[in-house]
Amino acid sequence: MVDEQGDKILEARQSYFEKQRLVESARIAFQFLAAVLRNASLYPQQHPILQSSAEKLQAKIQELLAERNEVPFYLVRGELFFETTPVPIDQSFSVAIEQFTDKDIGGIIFKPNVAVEEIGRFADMIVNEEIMPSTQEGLSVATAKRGIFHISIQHALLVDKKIGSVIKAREKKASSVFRDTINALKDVVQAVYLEKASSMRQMNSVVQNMVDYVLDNRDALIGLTSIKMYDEYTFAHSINTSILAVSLGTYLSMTKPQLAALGMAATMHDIGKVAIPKEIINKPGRLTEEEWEYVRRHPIAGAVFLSKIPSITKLAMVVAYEHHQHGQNAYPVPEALHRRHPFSQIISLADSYEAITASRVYYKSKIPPHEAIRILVKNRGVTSNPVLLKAFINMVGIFPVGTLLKLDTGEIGLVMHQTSDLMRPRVLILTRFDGSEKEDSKIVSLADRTNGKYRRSISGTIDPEEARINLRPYFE
Amino acid sequence: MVKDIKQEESFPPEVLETLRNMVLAIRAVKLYPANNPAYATAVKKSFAALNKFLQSHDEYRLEIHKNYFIYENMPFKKDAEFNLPIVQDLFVKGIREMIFLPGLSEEELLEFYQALALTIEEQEMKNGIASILWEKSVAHIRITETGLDEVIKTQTPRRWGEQSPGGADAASKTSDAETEKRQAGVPHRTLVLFDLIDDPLRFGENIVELAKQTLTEGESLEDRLFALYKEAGRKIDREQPEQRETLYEGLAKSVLSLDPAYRNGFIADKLYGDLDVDLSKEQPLSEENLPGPLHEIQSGRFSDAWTIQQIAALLKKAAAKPPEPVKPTGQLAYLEAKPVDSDIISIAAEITQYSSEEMNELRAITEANLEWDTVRAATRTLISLIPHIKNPAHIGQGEKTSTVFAGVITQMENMLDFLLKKKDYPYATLIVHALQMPTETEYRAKVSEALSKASARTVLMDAIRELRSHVMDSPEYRAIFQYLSMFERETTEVLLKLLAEEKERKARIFYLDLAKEISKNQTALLGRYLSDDRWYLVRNIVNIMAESKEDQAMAYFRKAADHKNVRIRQEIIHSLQSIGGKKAVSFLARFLSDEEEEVQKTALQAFARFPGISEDEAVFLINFLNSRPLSKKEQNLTLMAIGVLGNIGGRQARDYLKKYTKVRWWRPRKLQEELKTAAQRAIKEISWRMGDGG
Repeated sequence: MVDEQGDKILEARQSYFEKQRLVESARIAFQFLAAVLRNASLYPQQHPILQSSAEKLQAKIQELLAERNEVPFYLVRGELFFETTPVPIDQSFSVAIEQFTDKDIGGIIFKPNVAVEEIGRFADMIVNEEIMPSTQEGLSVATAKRGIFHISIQHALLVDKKIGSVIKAREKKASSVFRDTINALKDVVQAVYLEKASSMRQMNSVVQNMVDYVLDNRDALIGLTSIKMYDEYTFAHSINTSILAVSLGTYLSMTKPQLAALGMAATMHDIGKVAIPKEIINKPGRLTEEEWEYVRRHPIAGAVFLSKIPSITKLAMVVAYEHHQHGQNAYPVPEALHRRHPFSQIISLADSYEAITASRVYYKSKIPPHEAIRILVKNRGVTSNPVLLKAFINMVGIFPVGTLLKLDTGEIGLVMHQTSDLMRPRVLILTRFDGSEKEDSKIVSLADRTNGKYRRSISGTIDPEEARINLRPYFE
Repeated sequence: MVKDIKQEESFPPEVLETLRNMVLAIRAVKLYPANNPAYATAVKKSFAALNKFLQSHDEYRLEIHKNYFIYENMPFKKDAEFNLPIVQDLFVKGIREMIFLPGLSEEELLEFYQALALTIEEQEMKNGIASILWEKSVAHIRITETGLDEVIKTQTPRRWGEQSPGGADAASKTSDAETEKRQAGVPHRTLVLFDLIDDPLRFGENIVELAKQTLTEGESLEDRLFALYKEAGRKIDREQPEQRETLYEGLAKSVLSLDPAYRNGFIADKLYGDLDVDLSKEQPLSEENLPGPLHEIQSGRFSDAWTIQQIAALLKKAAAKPPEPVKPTGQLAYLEAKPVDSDIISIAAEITQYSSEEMNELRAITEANLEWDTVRAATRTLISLIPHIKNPAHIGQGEKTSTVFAGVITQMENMLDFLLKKKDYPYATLIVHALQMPTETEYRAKVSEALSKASARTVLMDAIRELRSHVMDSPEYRAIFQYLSMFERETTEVLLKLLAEEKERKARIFYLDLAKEISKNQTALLGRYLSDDRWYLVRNIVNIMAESKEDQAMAYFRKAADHKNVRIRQEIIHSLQSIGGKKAVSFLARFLSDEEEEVQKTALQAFARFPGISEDEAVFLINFLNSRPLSKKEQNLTLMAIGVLGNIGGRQARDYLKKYTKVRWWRPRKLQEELKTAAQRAIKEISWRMGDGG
């Protein structure tokens, strides 16, 4: 059973690790670049500290050049990319990003034979040149004048044209990944209703796509989970839970096969609800205790259904059975000392979090996003292992992607990414509230400082429903 | 609505002139009393401009946006400030479009302006502007409104010959011609509630059309449909209480007949969404119970097989609620922020720190072997499922418990197969243990089938071989031993086969020792093998049976007591010794009269070593001695019996032994002397044991 997948798993594992290695190398290279720029603002060009940091950067560039013709870093709408792969931004290089953004620089491309001296001259140019040429031609002339021939500086407009479309195409894909997963789940549900044999091939494939996407751009999919799905929340809930669970899995550096199993288990966790009599689940009123008892049986029905399907990970069955075995009202009642599978705990956590956020979106329960975190923290150890909860909050943030913030500057910001400081995410400043800001506004980090003081801080959260702001265009 | 916004410079002057005069007239009628000259002048001027325009055009159509007028998809930006109060007033009153047709009279225009001058409350009292115009027979002005209040009509069907209580006056005033004129005047805009009885599908089509036409900015079609259906419901509640059920049923049918593109979203999000909001107030989110019951239901509505009754109930519920005020979109005034509590800041700070234990825990989670993890977790789950799936209430509708049970057991078989191949005996044992739990008759056949597979000869052989490769009492050894112990009978059979066929002595000893542990309770099975010709096998069986120390074993030994092979009879004697007890002693006595001296000798030795034998049992030896003739040939065994009697006997034995102390002259002296010496020694031993010194 499991043996047959051995080679595939190994292959997937290798490609996953290769990509992770590349991202890590790129991150370190950019960190070195940030250090060079910082040192260039503090020391003269020949200073040993600056020299040493430039040497480190050069060595890392050489390492990356071993497998490619150039080492390109791009900044697109506040995000950092190596080639077209997103690189997580940490606080250590937010100043460098700011310098590039202020000077309308969208790309830095290192070419073979780049010398340490050249890096020094380049840093000096970035740090000390007040106004950079506004055209690409001008930039090329300016770098050549300074004797910089192996580092190409690219204007933001050019980068937007060059790779912006590639990134946009991928972002576009986020909603289609979401949609594909919903459709596949619908097919499965339909097959169950029609008592047809369910093929999980399609489901497996869309879940794998989703995993790939989360690995590439977790925040784009998390952003989609915050959007109200008017007509299909039932399906969206399972997909949202899956995205959140897989995102936590990536945060925990799980392997691709683990992520695929986690994603599949999360997508199917509520499949047992299909067995609840339609007159109960669609009852236009409050359920009686007897009716509610039927609802409580869905983990069993789900596990039984999934046990019969050969082409699906058996963990899906486990999670379907265990996902409500927590808290005072656990069902089915677990045996004493029963320890749930970690995947069940992750999915329960994602399920609970999704339920709290849904209550805000769908029942107008007025629970702001950070309140959801407080509820989970209050319940730590109940829904899941406390350490998993900690990891989950670190992953999703106190103000998750898709949260609308009022800033102390009076601006309205939409959370697009987390930073290592959970109170200071990276936000898109909204002005027109129609989604068009995505095209031309920059993403700012609330961790940015001027003269030691934060430029912007959170003063509160805004309910997009209350404010009648449609967030869908920002994530589609 | 505004498809192509162009510059207003392109408007013809007569369009601008007409609008300007119209705005002035609306304002004048609103502000001044009817006797004010400005009032009449403004209306007159407005009529003149409109009339002039309509002489060369088919209509003068104005759309109303919340901040400006639109003519042929172009907004009027010129005079926007001047027009703003009027256009906003019209918008708030729900007017979205005004169409002036040729043939318009000044009176009609005045009626229209006067209707517009009414307050919202006054308009509502008269069922809206459309109703006012209709009552005043204004035929050359059409308006489109946002709500249904004015466009859903409760036309009483003539064939019923009834009048609704609420609409009696209106109905009496309304001639068929007028109704037709009204309906014709606003194509697709008039919904007749009684269509719900005759043709709910058409009502559904019309309501979608109406929703599309009256859609406002920032509103989804589902929002609009919801507003219209609520309005229709209110109309039914207000005006048709006696037909309420029938009309709601029709309304529900019309909902279900909507194009699926709108229907599903409308029902799932609007109708059920509305219900969920109410339920969430009754059952607020419980922090201790996540996800809450309401969310469980909401996220379980996979089925779109809604019934008419369900939809009708939801529509009734929605209609009973007062309408909600509409908020504009994207206005900063509405961007009220909820402040962030200070404890969130401390949570944020605390949550980013991991202790080394936490890091290790996270690592353990992520480094778990997916394959084993899955298999073991699945095993536990399948086992947990067994008690549930026997309950018809716990499985899906239309499924038989026996079918579901069989499915789960098949999964367990597969899992067991995998576990055994991978030599994971602890988890394999878990499955077998679960399968061996008592179960109802209807499930037994499937369970037996699974257990037969689990205890197949090859499986057990593999397990025994695997057992040999582990150190005794190691965790692996114990796990396999436990698995074999779950199948005592089957393992016994396999072990007997191995014992019979194995050439290697060491291996045989291993099997024998194992069988003594596992097969000791399999007396019946072992007993069947006692008549086997292979003495070495029977000897082992006897050995094993002796471990049971059961009376039942003796019953089988009795049958084998006459086994032609001496060694087997001797093995039985050894086994009796192992079993012990009075019954075993009495059985042992029969071997004293065995035809083979070797057997008799073994029996005597057994008497000597028999654990817990009492002096009462000495009688068997006395009887034996009584039967012994005095001859050289018999002498050794007699001496041995005397010695054993000394070992076990009491007072009676001592008295009996005294007879050997007298030497008779007529009998062989040497033999008697030997017996005397032995008897004296025995008597001494007995006396010493009895503590009376003889």
